[in-house]
Amino acid sequence: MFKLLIIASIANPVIGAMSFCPLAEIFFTFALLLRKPLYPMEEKDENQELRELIPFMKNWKTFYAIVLGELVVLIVVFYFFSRAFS
Amino acid sequence: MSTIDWLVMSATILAIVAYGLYKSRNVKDIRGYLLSDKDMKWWTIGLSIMATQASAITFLSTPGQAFDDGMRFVQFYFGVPIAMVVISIVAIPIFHRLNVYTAYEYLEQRFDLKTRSFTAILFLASRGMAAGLTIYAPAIILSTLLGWQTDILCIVIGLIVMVYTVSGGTKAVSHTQKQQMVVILVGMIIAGVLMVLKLPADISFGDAVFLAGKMGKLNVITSPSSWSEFELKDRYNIWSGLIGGTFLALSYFGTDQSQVQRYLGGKSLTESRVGLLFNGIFKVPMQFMILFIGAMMFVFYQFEARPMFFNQVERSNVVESDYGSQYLELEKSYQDLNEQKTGLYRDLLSARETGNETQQAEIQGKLHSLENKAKQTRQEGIDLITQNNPDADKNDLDKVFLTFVLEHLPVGLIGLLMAVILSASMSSTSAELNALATTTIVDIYKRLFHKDKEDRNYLSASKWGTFIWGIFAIGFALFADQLGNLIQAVNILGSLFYGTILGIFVVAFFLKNIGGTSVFIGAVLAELLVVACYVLPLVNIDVFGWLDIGFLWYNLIGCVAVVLFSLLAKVFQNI
Repeated sequence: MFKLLIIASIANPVIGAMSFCPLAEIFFTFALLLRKPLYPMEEKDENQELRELIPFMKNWKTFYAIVLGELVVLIVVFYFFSRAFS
Repeated sequence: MSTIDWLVMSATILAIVAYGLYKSRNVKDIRGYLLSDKDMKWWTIGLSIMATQASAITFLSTPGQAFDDGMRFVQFYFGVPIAMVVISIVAIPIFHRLNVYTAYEYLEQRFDLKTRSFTAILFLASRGMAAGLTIYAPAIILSTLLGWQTDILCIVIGLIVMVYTVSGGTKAVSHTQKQQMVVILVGMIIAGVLMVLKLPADISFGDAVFLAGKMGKLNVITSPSSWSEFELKDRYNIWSGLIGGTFLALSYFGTDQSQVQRYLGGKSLTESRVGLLFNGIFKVPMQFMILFIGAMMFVFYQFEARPMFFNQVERSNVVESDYGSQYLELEKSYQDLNEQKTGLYRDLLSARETGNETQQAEIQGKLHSLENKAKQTRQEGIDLITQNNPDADKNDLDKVFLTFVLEHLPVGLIGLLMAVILSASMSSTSAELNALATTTIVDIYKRLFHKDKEDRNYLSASKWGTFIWGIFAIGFALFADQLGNLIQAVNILGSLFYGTILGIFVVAFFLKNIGGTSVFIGAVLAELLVVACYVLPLVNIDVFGWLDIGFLWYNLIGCVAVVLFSLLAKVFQNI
């Protein structure tokens, strides 16, 4: 896991220099982070608990994707908001 | 403030305190007192986490920040959702599985006693003094604007917080924070709506947004256009927000006991995680809303007489001094410039309606020129204030929002907004006292001095711990005005420690082969490095000009340094 984070932190500025860097940062880091569950043994019961709390959440990855997706959407909206009113 | 405002404010505060006392009436043991019997629902945890972070200064200074510098401060919070996800995946399962009372307790299980004690002491040192400032900072602003006695205000805020924090512990803190956060959100929404409604009749909401944008106040996303423009000392851009902000949020939410304690009281792992992710979803929009209120306040004051300097106490001092006539002349020039701007704003709106973009650009240029002149005039006024009194408070941005509240909101709502500010101050202070007492009792008292006492002994010690930290915080707040620049030093002190604490936890979570001694050496060296980064530029020693950086980056440097030094220490140990 740590190796993945190191690779991500080195690669992010490189990707960022070439494209819309914050989005690359988020996607790249969490694509790596979510690739392998840290605690697979507990995940099934926790997901059941989550579904009981919030019906439309299939599992934790969906929830994490919503939180990070919202951040990406907000950054994009804020970016166009800044440009539109500057 | 009118009698009705006093009644609204007092009733709101007392109702919240009474609710906290009622909800925590059955606390009988240490688990109930420090972990709220692990019965918290996710919405209580989420609101409690938000309330802990949102101090009174957040609501006083943030609109002023947008008023002056635009909305780019929101980027500072972009790291929060990322940190919430990482903590949910990595830290919460471990804390829950080990059933710990403090985050530092885990470090002994992972490393050794000295690493646990070192980290706990770093936390107590930084957070202990910060608790006093959390009381002092809003008290000084309220006393400046309302003429209330700062000392009395500090004592009143401190004692009210102590009443429910000492008696009810974590349960009282979390339940009162839930109510406080609701009051805060409702109050801020009402203030924002009224601000727009109070604009001149010919200025619509759309016009206000258009004007704020043209004056550069809606600059939410800022980024250097090339690497040559990239400056580490620029605190608020998308890079410092996403990278520095993520590290800051990771250390604050993942390792600061005042936050960790909020989600350790969750009924289950799921409730804790959802509570934390709830904060990740709502934090950025909430800060955007508060900053947007600041941007609207900027537009409001373009059509309304605004003081050149919002701190009326400092203004009165300079007006009554030998510099008085000079200052009044500057004020007159400032008002003239504002009147010219008001006319141009209307011209700009007319040009927009006709679709004449050349004229729009021309008027915008004139407005920026006048705005710069007004800023220059204001700065000359501030210079006079400083010449008259070198110790004068030169920052008035934290008084802009409160000035609007006091001068333009109707009776009743002023009381509600005062309750908002006091609630914010109380929510942060109560969480800090609760966390300080928990760390003192669990990591120091129980672990190092009184290992095998009865539960009621620890419960009693925890209550005494909260009481003593409360008295310390009030005492620190009472003497804060004599500390001068030490206040700034205390704020910086926190950011100097956070990176190191986070680094210790990163090693604990991810580097399984690093032991206690290696991480301890790594942490001490990293702390020295971070302190050097801060101290060397102060004594004019700067390495290639690299050390003059925003404090947000200390979190990243401290964290990375702990990891690297721990790895090196491990290598040297193996040789």
